Amino acid sequence: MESWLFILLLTGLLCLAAWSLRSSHAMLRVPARYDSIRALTSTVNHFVRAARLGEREEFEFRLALDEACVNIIEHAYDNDLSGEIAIFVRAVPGMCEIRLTDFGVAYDPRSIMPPQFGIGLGDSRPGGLGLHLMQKMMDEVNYTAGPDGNCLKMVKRRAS
Amino acid sequence: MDVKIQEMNRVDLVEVSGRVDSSTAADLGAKMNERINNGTLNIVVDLSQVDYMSSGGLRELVAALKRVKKDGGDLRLCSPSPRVREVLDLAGLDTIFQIFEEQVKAVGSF
Amino acid sequence: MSSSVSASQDQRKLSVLGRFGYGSIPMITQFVADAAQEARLDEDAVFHCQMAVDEACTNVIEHAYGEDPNGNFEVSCWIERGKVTIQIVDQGKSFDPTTAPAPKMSANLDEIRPGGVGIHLIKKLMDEVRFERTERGNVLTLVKIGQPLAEHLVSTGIPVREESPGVWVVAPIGQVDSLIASDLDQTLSDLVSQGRNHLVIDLAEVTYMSSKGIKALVSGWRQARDSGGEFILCAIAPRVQAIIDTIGLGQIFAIHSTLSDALTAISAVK
Repeated sequence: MESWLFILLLTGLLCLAAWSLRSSHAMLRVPARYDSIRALTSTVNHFVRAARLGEREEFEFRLALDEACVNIIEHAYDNDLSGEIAIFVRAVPGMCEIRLTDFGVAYDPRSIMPPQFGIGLGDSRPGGLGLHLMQKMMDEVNYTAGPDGNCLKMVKRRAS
Repeated sequence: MDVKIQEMNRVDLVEVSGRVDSSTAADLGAKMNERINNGTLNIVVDLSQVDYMSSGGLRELVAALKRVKKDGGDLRLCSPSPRVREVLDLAGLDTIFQIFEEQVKAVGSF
Repeated sequence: MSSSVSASQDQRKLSVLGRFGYGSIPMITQFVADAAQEARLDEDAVFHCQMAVDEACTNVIEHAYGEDPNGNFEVSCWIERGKVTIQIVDQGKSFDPTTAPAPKMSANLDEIRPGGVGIHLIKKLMDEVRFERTERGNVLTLVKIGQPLAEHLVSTGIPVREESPGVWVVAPIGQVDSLIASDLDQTLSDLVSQGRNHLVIDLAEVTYMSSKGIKALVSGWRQARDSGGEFILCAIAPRVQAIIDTIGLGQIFAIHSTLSDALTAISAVK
């Protein structure tokens, strides 16, 4: 084979390897409104798929993200439609991580108890049903309140 | 994106499926070039299974057309979906390619 | 012409930013398609936006960044009823795609010049195309305007029918995410307040439900039973059942596997 062709091929292969090993990530910014949820979950799904977690995991990730957004809309911003959510999403093969930051009111996730039959279904405690679902769907759920915003981090890995 | 090439009597039939965009177009171009390098003069590109084509794909088709025409051959298209047809028309490719509704007509035109 | 797009009350802004290569383009065009749908543009208009953004991003990656994998760019969408404004901002080499010569297609082989097809497509697909080089970098603004789709064509709506005298079937379709859940909540409340409190909720066509959707069902269940009625669920997909079970509500709802079983059961108590 011609040497120039060989070099071209080698470069191409190296680029391909670099591209596929590199983690893919993005930052998104959306208004904290119910009508942002669909666009957000569908865009983030590309990353969950890139991580090759599996179809069931895609469903669970989507559910957890939906729930997280609802919490922010209803409790961090108390349904004030002018708030924003900043999202960082990162995927590597076998793992997808997402961080949602809101600039609203902080709440203490330790005050949220998993729901019991008959209790708390109608009330508006922060998180509530949503947080419980999130913890079941994701491998890690961490919440940090801070002066520069409140950050909810969730990680999901491929089932081993 | 997948490319299946069938060597027929008078033409090479290139069946493309999936998305032909900036990340996959070069692959289509490379496969057509390989055939042209081996002496293929007449090509039919069947687009029936292509659900999306952007300018990268159009460029590869034009590049292959120019190459075969130089040697006295031709490249013709068949069965584009309405969306792909729209893109071909907007780009003006309907003035330089013969586009057929059916594969059998495209192959038979040679 | 100003490159800034000010957000107003009726205008929402969504944006995505990152080091994007060709492989990220499907994700970006999906993002734009969702935004265009939220703007209530029709299918063709949505497709045009996707194609135009594909071409624009390809140009940024190819020309502004010379395919450098470290090139950062941002795609923002401002959504209004019947209008979406898309802006692509990159910090690469100054590159104005709008000044590229138009492609030339000709029967004369030597005259064919395929360069510039991308921007040519963008100009044909979008209603407005503006380029500016500012301190933010290359700013390309694309606008698509269309007749907004009528309400009933956009929302999935919650199909409701009277199956037999006094027995009402509510059959939501598809993904009952938090937005649809509000509709479901309202629909159930309305029915009960109209005295229609023998309800069968047919979930055969539901592929997904968030906790808001389930809260809506619980609320409907409470209201129906408090007013002396009945509330039965049926035909729940395994995934949705798993969510209900996770929440711990598998025990409170009366659930049947098929619609006909549910109808039989509700007629028995009526």
